[in-house]
Order: sequence, then structure tokens, then C-alpha cells
Amino acid sequence: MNPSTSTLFNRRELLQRAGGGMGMLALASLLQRTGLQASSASSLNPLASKRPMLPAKAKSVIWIFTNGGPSHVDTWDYKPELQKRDGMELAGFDAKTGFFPASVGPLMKSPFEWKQHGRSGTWASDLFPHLSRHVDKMSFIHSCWTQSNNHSPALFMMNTGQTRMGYPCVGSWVTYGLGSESDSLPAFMVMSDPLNRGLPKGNASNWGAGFLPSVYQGTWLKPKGEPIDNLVPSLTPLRQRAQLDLLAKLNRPMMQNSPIESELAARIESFELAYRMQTSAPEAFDVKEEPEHIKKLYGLDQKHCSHFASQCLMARRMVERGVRFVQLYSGGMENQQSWDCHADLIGNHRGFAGESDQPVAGLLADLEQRGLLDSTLVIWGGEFGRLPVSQKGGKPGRDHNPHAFTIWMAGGGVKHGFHYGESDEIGHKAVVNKVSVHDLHATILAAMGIDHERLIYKFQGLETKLTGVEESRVVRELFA
Amino acid sequence: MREPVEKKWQWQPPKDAKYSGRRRALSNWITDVDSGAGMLVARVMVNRLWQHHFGRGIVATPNDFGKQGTLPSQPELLDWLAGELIRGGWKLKPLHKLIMISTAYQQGTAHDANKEAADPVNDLFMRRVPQRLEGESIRDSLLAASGLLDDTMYGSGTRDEASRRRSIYFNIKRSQLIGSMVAFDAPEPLTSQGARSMTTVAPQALMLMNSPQVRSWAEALAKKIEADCQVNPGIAANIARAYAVGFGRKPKDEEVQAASAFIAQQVASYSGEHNPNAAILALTDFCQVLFGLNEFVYQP
Repeated sequence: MNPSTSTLFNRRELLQRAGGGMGMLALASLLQRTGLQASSASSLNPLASKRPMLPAKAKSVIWIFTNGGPSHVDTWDYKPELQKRDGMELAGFDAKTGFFPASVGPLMKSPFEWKQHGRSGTWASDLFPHLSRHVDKMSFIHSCWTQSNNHSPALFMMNTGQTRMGYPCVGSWVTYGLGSESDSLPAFMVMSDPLNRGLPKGNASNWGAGFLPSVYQGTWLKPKGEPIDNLVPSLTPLRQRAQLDLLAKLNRPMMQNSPIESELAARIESFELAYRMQTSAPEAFDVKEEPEHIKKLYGLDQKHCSHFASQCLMARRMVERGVRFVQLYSGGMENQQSWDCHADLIGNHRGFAGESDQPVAGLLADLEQRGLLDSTLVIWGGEFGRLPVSQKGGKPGRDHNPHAFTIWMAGGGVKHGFHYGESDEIGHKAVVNKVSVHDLHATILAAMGIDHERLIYKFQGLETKLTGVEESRVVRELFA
Repeated sequence: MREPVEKKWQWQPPKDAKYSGRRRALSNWITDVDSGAGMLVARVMVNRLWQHHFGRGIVATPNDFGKQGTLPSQPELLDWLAGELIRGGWKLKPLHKLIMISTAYQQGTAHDANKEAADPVNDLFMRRVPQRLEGESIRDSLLAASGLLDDTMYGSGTRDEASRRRSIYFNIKRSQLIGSMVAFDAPEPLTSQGARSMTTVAPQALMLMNSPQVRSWAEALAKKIEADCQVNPGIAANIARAYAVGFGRKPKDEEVQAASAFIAQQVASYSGEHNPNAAILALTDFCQVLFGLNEFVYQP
């Protein structure tokens, strides 16, 4: 066919007209259906706050990402049977489940002391003397499983629902769906280990916006130096104010009668917002001004946990100021730098539990006393669990286990002191009411008032969703 | 029996070659306008060029010419341009020229009731829609205006934001993207993006207000202007020179007035602190404002 002699023009034109008209109608109805029409402010602002599709309690999320994969059978998933069978071989075990097939040892009981806590009688190991006082605020899912036994893919899975890099993460989807409640802070912020132990594997891809507009990506706060680029004013407030006034004055004539008048107006407004951010962001990050009893509550006065205490306190201050989604990584990259306890399970978990226990407990207590816990969903969990068999070594550890792990949530409308799903009697595999990562994502979205089937972004001819194409299930049982 | 069509795309590499020639075969197929993908590729390519110049392609879904994509608004134009590309030996520059000397490209941005009635959603490209420059072009323009641009071609790239070379020489490391590019909507480099989103957000303004690079480029521009105006110094001359460098035009009277008042105010402010560099600092402040103007970051 010669491209210069298309004979389809009239029919095509007709279809295009009709298609265009119907497309617009469909778009308008889709926007209404998905509840994605800006409820206030200008729809030009991609971060304008939007009403959730469904009634919801949670307005924001604080995700304590216990990086590296904490051992469920040593933290929140009590396995008396594993104690009984300590030292026995696990018959039929696939040595390739974990990462080090050559180091597979026998079943290994939890080396920690276990006790029941709260009115719910929740079993917890002695790794969490502070958090165990808050078990009646938590909803546990003991039947999580994921698709990879390797850190990067499992991290991508937990953050984006895909084991490959390059997809939008949960925080980006939530921000895309709900916009921002703050007009002077980023909507989605990420904090990583400040003790030089590295970033989670895959680095920024864990908080990337993938194919969503880049405005929805997480803002990573640099743990050293200025946390956000270009936040320190280059001039005194008075001189900078004069600059912005001149800028607005010189910009205005070009706006008049322009086809993109509102876009240009938004641009003037973005400078004003930036001007405000210069003071509001450092203020939000500044935990020094908190009263002493609050600092103590989080453990800011204690050397072993002060770094994480200050990040947890920052998370609360952000949520208080309307930040939609905060992700806080506990631990650095891998092995002994994170919860990745291939060796020395005891030392590793004592260390990372020790540095996060009181800060997270303080966060729960503080959110509650401020009446913020109902509107804030706190999530605690990593990218996978650990095996019930030991990983051999001088000080034994545990290898990766994609088949079972526990996460808990608190606040945001979830039940108090509730347990959902079970792993098998030794914690090897999830068996009762299994919850996939997509189910988990659907549940997090539901807590925020978003129907995961209707949070859609059109990309390359597909209506893409966080939960992908297969059916996922909201764990409704979790909600009070 | 007819020879299978694949035969003509296949290519036999030289005897001792260390490659199979499959890529050559693929490109033969891609550019074969008779029995391969050539026609489609030409349409996709010219549509990209059109999108680049107008902000929207003749087919609005540049990555999807299939059933899920939208139909072309001017199919005959798309086909003709595709034909021109092929007939011109797949050279792009003549196509750019062809598009840019067209009547469509030369439409103004002004509102016109008659045009609006005839073409309410601008399907016919009757009204020019100003395009914001892409992040790379913004940074390159700033560097060029400051006189600091290093336009050396070729060689290895960098991830140093203080680099003076064109932004195309930024290395892409997937896990550590370039902040100033991402702020202006450079997409993640992992998936193909047919069209960039164009957002207007505070981090862009913060960069123009506070980035040490932008500030140093403003300073370089101020010094350049001062040097250029040595023969005929004065605030009005400085402003005129700045407009010439930044926008290629003379400033209007109201602009000269506003800018002069601003520069005088900044000079007074710096002088109040007995700062010996008050004049150049004030001019730097002004140059930085120019960098933030819509006229600087939008192609009208």
C-alpha cells in the first residue's frame, strides 16, 4: 500500500470524530467512576487532593519496611512444633528454597523466649519488649507469601507487585489515586538507613513511579546532609521574595489569552509553593523542637535506637502535616547490614529489633494519643520470611523463605489484636487463608478507600493496575 | 515456486565475522517499505517528529498504532509525510524543515473566535499551543545563555550535575537518576515512554531558585552581560543585553521599568550590608529571574 493514497480517509475521519466524542464521554465517566476527578483545587495540579472512591478510615500510610526479610518464626509467628522438632531433618525439603543450598541445616527452634501479650493473648518473642505492649492495636497476617527468594525481585514485588524493576510502587499508586493533603510538602516520602549500611537492593526503583508521571515518585530524604535537593534558599528571604515578585510580574503578560493560561498560572503558583516549602519542609523534619517526653517515648535519648527514633518521629510529623505516604526502611542493604540473618540469627535480630522496637512502639503510642492512629495505617514487614531450617555456620542463621511470612498492620481501621491466616506448624509455608502480595496491596488500597480494580492508569494500550491482571482479594476480615 | 519473502531480508556476514547478521536482517525488515514494516515505521517516525514540534502527534498515541491506539487526526497528512521520509532517503532534517515551514506550524497562539468555532478542540492545529521544553533542553538552554556550555561532541558521559556539557551526556544509571532531569519529568529509563508527562511542580521551582548550578550560571550570565556592556554601561543596557541573550528580542518598556526597579532594590539591599559586589550580585539575581520566566522554559 502506498501511504499517499489512503482511501480510508472519510470512514476514518468519521470514526475518529465519533471515537473522539465517545472517548471523551468514556473518559469523563471513567474519571467519575474511579473517583479520580479532582474534588477541589485545579485539576491541573496532579497532586490535588482527591476524594477516595470508597469510605475509608486511613488517610495516610507509614510503612516500616523491615528490610532484608525478618524471620517470622522468631518474631510474631509462634511455632511450638518447631521447638519440639529442633535438630531434626526436614524430610523432603527443597534445598533450593533459600539462597544457599549447600548450607541447609536441620530444623532450628527459635532461640528467643516467647510469651503471650495483651488481651488478645498474642504470642511474641522477647525481641520486642516495647512493641509487645501494643499487640492489641495490631492485625497480624501470618499467611503472606511472595514470588521470589531473592532480595531485589522480592523487594520489587513487595513495593510494585512485579518482580522486575520499573513498575510504579504502592506509594506512587496511592498518591496518583488520592493526591496530596499538603500544599507545602511532598506527598510521598522515603527514609532509608542513616548509619551508612546502604540502601535496600534496587535502590530508587523501590520508590519509583514506573510509567506513572514522575510527579508521583517517592521523595527520598538523603540520610546525610540536606535531605531534599535545593531546599536551602540561595538568597535571604527578602531578596528572594523580590525575585518571585518580579518573576510573577514579568510572567503575567505571556499568560494573557494563552491557550495554556491555567498551566502558566500553575507555574507561578509552583514558585510560591517552593518558597513556602523552604521553611515548611525543614520544620517538618526538625525533631529537636519536640518536647522531652515525646523524644523519650520514641527512644531518641538512647544511643542504640536514636537514629530510628528520629525517623519514626519525623514520620509522625509528616503525617500530621498531610503527607500521604511515608516509607521507612529499617536496616541497610543485606546480610548483617539488615534483617537478612543468614548468620548469627540471635545477634542480627537482637540488633535490628533493638534499634526499632521502642521507636515503632513510641510511634504507635504517639499516633494514638494524638488521635491520628485511626487515620494512619501503620504497616510492619519485609520482603519475605525465613526458613524453619537453619543456615549452617559458626553462629547459625536462617535463609530466605518466600513461602511464608508475617506482616502486621495497625491503625487505619484495622481490627485490634486480630490474627489472620496461618503458616504450617513449623512456619515453612503459608497454608490457611493465604495472602499474596497482590492481596496485600489490594488490602492497603482498600484501607485508603481505593478499589484496586478501579485504580487504573492507561499505558501502552493497557489499563494497568497495581494488582496486575490476575484476580486479587481484599482481606476484608482485617477491617473492624 | 516463489522464494519466501524472508530471504530478501536475510544477510550473510563475512566469513570470519563474529556475528550472525540477525540484527542486519531485522533492520532490513524494519525498513522494507514493500513487504516489511517500512511503511509503518515511516508513519511512526514522522508522527514522532510532528509530536515533537506540536506537542501532539497526528496519532495521539505515539507508542500504539494498533487497535488500542487512537486514529490519526489527519491520515492523509501522516501518509504523505511518511512518503516524503521514504522518498527523501529516510533523512530527518528535510522532514523537520518541511514541518516547520508549514502553515500549521506557523499558527499563532492568540485566541481567534472563528478558528475556535471551526476547530474547538484544536484537532486541526489551528492554534499554536506553547510547549514547555524538556528537562534536557531547559538545562542546555541555561548553560548556553550563561555562556558556559561546553559543546564538545562524543566521548563518555557523566552523572555530575555540575558538568557543563549538554544533558544528553548524562549517563543513565537506573538506580541513581539525575535529580534535575527527573524534576522536569525525565521518565524512568526502564520502560518505553511514547510521550513525556509535563508537570508543573514545586521541585522545578526549587531548582531554579536554589540549585548551586543554576545560581552559578546566573552569575556567569551577569558577568557576561557586564563585559558585553563595557562600552555603554548602565542598568537599561544590561537589561537589554540580558533580553537579547535570553530571548533574542528587545525588552518592552514595562519590562525595563520592572527590571530596573528590581535591580535598584537589590543593589540597595546588598549595599546596605556594605557588600562591595552589590552591582554584580543584583544583576545575578535578575539573571536568575530570567531563567525562571515562562518565556525561557516554554517554546511559544
